[in-house]
Amino acid sequence: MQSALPDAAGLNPGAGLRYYSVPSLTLLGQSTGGALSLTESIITELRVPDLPYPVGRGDVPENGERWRSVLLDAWYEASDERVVDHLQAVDDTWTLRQVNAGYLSDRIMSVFLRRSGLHPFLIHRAARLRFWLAMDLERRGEQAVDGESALRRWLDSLEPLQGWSRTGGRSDRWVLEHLGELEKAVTQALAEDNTRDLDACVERWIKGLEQQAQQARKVAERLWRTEKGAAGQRAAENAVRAALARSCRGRKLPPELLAFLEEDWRHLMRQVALEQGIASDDWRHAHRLLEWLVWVADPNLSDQDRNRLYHVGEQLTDKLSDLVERVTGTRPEASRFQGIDTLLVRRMRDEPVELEPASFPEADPRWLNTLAEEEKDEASRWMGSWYLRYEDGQEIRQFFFGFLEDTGEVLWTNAQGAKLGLQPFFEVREMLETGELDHLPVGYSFGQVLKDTLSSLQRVLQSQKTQREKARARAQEEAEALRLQQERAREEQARQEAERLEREEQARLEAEQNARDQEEAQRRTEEAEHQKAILDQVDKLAAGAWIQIGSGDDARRLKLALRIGASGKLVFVDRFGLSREEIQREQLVQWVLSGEATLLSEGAEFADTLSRVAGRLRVGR
Amino acid sequence: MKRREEEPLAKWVPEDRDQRGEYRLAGRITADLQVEAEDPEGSEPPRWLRCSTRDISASGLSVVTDEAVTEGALLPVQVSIDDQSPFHLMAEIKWCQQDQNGFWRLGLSLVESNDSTLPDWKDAVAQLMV
Repeated sequence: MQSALPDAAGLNPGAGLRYYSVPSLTLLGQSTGGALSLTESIITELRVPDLPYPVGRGDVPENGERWRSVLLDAWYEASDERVVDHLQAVDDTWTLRQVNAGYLSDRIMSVFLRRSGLHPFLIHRAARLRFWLAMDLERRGEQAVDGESALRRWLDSLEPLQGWSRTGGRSDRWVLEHLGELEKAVTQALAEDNTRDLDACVERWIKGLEQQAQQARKVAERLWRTEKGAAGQRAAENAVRAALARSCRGRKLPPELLAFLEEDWRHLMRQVALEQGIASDDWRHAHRLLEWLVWVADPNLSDQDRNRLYHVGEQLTDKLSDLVERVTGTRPEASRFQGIDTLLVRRMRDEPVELEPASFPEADPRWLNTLAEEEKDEASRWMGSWYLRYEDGQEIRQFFFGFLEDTGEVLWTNAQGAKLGLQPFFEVREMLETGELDHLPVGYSFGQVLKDTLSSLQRVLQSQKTQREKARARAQEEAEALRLQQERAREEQARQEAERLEREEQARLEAEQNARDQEEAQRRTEEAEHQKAILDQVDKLAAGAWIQIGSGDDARRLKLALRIGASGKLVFVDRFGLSREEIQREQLVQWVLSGEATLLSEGAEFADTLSRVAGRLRVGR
Repeated sequence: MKRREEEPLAKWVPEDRDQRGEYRLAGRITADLQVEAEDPEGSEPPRWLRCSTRDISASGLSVVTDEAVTEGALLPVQVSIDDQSPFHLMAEIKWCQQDQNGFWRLGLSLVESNDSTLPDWKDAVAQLMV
């Protein structure tokens, strides 16, 4: 009989078991490929809205101890909050690197824990590692998540634990003990910046997983062999029971037949079912012979056709022997079927036989049918996956380890070789349809999540860089345009100010000119008045009035001799009437004004009048 | 875990009413907003409100503070980056909204003024974008 195994559960030691294997340590660092180089870019350049980044390029005050303290406090508190929430809660200035290390840690861990498919208990414990991851990312950048990083190796190693759940068993305890150890090591790493214990703890864990995987492989192989054998036995036994139940149900049969069936024939049938299966010819023959035996032995059945009774009865024992010989390889001794022979003879002779009710227990008639091919195919497709159900509020994860075709049963394990139970496949199908059982989604490894997350953030960062470049160019253009505008405004203002000053100067000059003109006019007026006064005086000069022309030793004194009224000419002579000098009245006035001549009056009265006029002129200027 | 872990950062749409169409640089610096000028007689000094920025751009700021400010107000604001002399700017309060923690978020739009250092601000922001 064949039973279906999960593809990866092969008994070939070289094939390994997919659900047990731990990724090779040499491969751990390679799953992200070139994406590892992105980490540093993201830490140093990404800007996420609403996070407490510094803006300027100046140095942030040294806050390494504060940074460590915040992360350590969150760790001690077993906080479920994000790293950035803790940073924002503290009134401190964080560096770009610190903020982004916190953000990246939150993002990677949250995505991983959502997609890992791990049990919520494991998720809760692993989630807190974000604080250590943040510290390590800030300190070492891409090295915090490369293949050599302890945390990376630990998280990658969780992939096979997708089926782990809190069953209280031995595997439970081993994981819980390790988690406690890991958390102590992380505490030391956070508090003392010393990863020695963490590295050693992860190393022990991974070695332990590998050993467990090897052990699990062996246990699984053993389990499969055991269960396959047991299933065959069960199937054979149940098939025989079903055959007996069906054939003898409600019948009254001779006790010697009942004894034969119980003590002999059922064992043969069981052997046939076990060795050849219920689809074999020998099983059909054995089953048929059973039915013939019952027919012949039950008068209610065979008395109605006595010809057939003779025909069958004569050959029945031989056929029994033939079958025994085919199955066992040895012709049975004649005495084996003697009791049956005697019964058959009595029946053929129509002699009365004692009857008693057949008491074979009822059995499920499905055991007489072979499994449909469709059902085998369906089971094969579901095999090798994890399923989820709830029991007393607890989440139970179970692995469809194998399908026992002999019995149509699903062998559930914890994927570590420990049997969780057997269940008919049709029941499993029904539970899936009603929702009592659910497929556990395929989980993602940490490496895959890291790669996807970094790729996603790379696109964001690229977009931000493009936007920033555009914003930079635009800001510079606007600054330049604004400066130009301001410059023009200043120039315009200066021009207007200059115009205003010019207008004011012009007005001032005009005012000054006006003042000078007025002064000149006044001077001229006064001059004219003076000139008129002198002219009046000259006109009043009577004959005999004296004048002096010149000054000093050259002065000449002359007196008015004649006034020629029509021409305005004045004739002056000396004291002796000589040195006649004819002067026009206007000329004399000019000489008096210029000081070349002086009117010598007959007394002081005339000189005072002149001095008053001259004084007015001096004051007016 | 709460919050939006996988929000498309490249297409982040602000929760509040920020209308700036340009890129905003996330980060925190201090901004002082003169919410009351001194009185004409000089007997009452001006009142300054200290704010913390959420993000900045060449044309505006988003800040958080602990009291509301009237939308539409035109107020002087001083902002310092690193140890540089503060930028003296003029801002219009475009929106004011209370957040879930009881603080107030404001959107400030910078306004041109001959007396302000807006061109220098734009140059400074341009340098920070790189």
